[in-house]
Amino acid sequence: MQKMSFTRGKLLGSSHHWRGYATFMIAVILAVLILPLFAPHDPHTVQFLYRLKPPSFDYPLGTDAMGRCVLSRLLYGARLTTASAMAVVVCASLIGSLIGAIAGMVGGVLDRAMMRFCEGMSVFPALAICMIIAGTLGLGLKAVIIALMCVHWTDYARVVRNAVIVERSKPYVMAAVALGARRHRIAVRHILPNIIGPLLTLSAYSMSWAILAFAGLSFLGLGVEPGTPEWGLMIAESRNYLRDYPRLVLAPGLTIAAFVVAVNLLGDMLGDRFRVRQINYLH
Amino acid sequence: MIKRTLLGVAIAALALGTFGATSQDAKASDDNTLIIGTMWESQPLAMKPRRSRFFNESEILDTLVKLDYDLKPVPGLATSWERVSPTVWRFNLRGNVVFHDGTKLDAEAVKFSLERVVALLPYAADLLNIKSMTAVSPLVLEIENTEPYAALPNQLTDAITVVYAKSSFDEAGDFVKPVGTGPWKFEEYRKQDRTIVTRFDGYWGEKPALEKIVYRYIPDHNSRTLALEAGEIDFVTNMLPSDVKRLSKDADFKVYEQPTSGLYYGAFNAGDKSPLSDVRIRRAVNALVDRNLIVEGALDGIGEPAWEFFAPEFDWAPQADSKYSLNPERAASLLTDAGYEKTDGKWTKDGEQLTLRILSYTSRTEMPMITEAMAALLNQQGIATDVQMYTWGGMLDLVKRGEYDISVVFWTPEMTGHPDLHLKSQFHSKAGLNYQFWENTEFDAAVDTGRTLDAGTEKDATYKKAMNILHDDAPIIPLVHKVFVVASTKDVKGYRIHPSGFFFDFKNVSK
Repeated sequence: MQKMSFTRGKLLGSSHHWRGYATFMIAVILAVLILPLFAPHDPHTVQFLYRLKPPSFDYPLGTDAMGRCVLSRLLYGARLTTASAMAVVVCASLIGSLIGAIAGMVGGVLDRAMMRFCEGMSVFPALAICMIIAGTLGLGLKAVIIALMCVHWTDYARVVRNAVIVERSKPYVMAAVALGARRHRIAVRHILPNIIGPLLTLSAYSMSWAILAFAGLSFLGLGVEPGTPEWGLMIAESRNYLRDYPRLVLAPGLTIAAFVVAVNLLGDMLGDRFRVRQINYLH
Repeated sequence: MIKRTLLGVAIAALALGTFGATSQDAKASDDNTLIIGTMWESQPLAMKPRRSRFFNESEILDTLVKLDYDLKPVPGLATSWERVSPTVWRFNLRGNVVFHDGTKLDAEAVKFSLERVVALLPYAADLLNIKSMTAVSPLVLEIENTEPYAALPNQLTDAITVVYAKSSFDEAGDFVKPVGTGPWKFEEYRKQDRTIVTRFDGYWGEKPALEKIVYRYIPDHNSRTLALEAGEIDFVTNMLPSDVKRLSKDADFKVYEQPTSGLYYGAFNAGDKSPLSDVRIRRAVNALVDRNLIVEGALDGIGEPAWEFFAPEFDWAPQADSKYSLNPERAASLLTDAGYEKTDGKWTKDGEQLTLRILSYTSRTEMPMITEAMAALLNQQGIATDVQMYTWGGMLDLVKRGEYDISVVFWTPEMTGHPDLHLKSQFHSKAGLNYQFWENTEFDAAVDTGRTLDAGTEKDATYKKAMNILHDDAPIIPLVHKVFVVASTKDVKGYRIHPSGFFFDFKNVSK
């Protein structure tokens, strides 16, 4: 038992955990690309004569107030939501990690300044900042992705910076320093591989955060164009029918919930594997 | 972590599922109090062009002239009026009228009030067109206009012309609180929550049955109707179409429906920045949108399809000689004339599809639905759309800069029983509210003249001409004539919707 965990800890998890993660991500990406192919209808087709129909063989989840197929919209929405959330996570993790690594490696005034800035950012509610940024940039998918990224990179910066500082004092880094390795080489070759565990775990959690935030902002009317198949927007568009046709709100609502739970479970799994004790940086 | 997530999901689901205002404080009370749920906050402590309408609709303040249920001018604070010269109107005021602060209403007080209104509210000056006012005797006020002005008595029914007591303003002349002559006096305002008015026993007219009216601000449509069903409020405005259907079937509630002259329409950008600067495309769009489907699809059938500017119910409203109609063939020939070509079901020119940027705002819940329905109908006809929803202010910013093709709006039915208000304030090239870059000198001339003419054939002909220009040059696409809907508990008696849509008239209501 002890031996196994020793190996894992040292080698950033044995190779099959890597494979597991990679397989899962590929599966998700494939699913997202392929899912719309299973959509029975065009998600944009409006049929006023066929509005608010109950589920049937033709329309497994029924139609919405504009006569559009709810299932098709959910499936297309999966692509949009996942792709956008991933864009947020990838960009935020790259930027945040870079800044966190620099802060951790350089230390001193730079480190303190950067961390105070990150803390300053986290004082404000993330969604409120997103709304301000997205509002300034104008409506649209891009604006929302940029806004989410802008508030989210600080989480990565803090995690990476702390991890770098912990790693930096370990003997293997000292050995590298003693051998005369340059700072960036130490960061990339020695430290990065050893902190990738927490980083991946964090990315899974932040994926679920991004999905929720994205749906939330769409619900509020920022983000995608009205009429776009997007989960948050579907809820917003159906809420006037909540009393009489709850399924219109429940379908996207439960989909979001299930998706977020799944991604969080993945995060937990990764956390267990990488023995990450505490990822509590997310709200 | 999983537990927390699940808990979060459960809480979120609950929050979504209930939406509800379930505060226990105001169980719909005794027989002398009426509680109303409104979509807009009443804001009785602000005097603004749009918001101060509340003073009139709640009857804290009175206008000189009022509109009856046929939208004909009837005596308000003025018992009669006559034209003593082409430019001078004389108003005989009602005697024995006291303000809520105990002071007497006289010609000087009315003059003071109208001066404050013109000074404080931007479009009042054009609405009233006053050159000078003279208090001839305590109960006679003469208003001289800058030109012969037949429309004045009608304009004085507009909610912004309500008569304020001097104590409504501070020493610097700024508005403080509403002190008027109406049957209800302002009692209390709780920000973002409610406004309370109580019966004024010195009212000049018949004494109301109720003692107190509470205007509760419940912006969410679902919550507002739920509050009615839960017995928290007695009366609800601006209901969702689906709620109208459900409550109509429920014997515990009364649903009131009445067409008003409110119009949902798409305002075209006729300026250089838009393809709609070409009148042929404006006409084509008008011929491509089936209004019946918008009423059905976006409003569940609650509304009248609008193929003309003024709703046909109102006989004071002039009509153009023809109406718009669904006519794809005509639209096709117009678009072909304008240089577009239909390929693969898309209207294109120089390889680019005709794309319209459509803006609207979300504070009226039905706006996104109407906008989306219109966009979907245009899409089906081969015109691409780029729909964006903003707050009212956000949309207006873009509209003023000309960064749009169509803005879908609702023109609030501040009806005065005279076409001047609608036409001149929205479409005259000098009008402050004309953000459409639409200019038509003949139209300007017609509406400039129309307001000076007494009722008769000349006035009718002038306005018919204006309406024909509006129809032919098509600066807008009319979409839906609003049907105003409110509901109350079955105990509320004597309520009737005023066709202006902005006048509660609770004087005759009892419980």
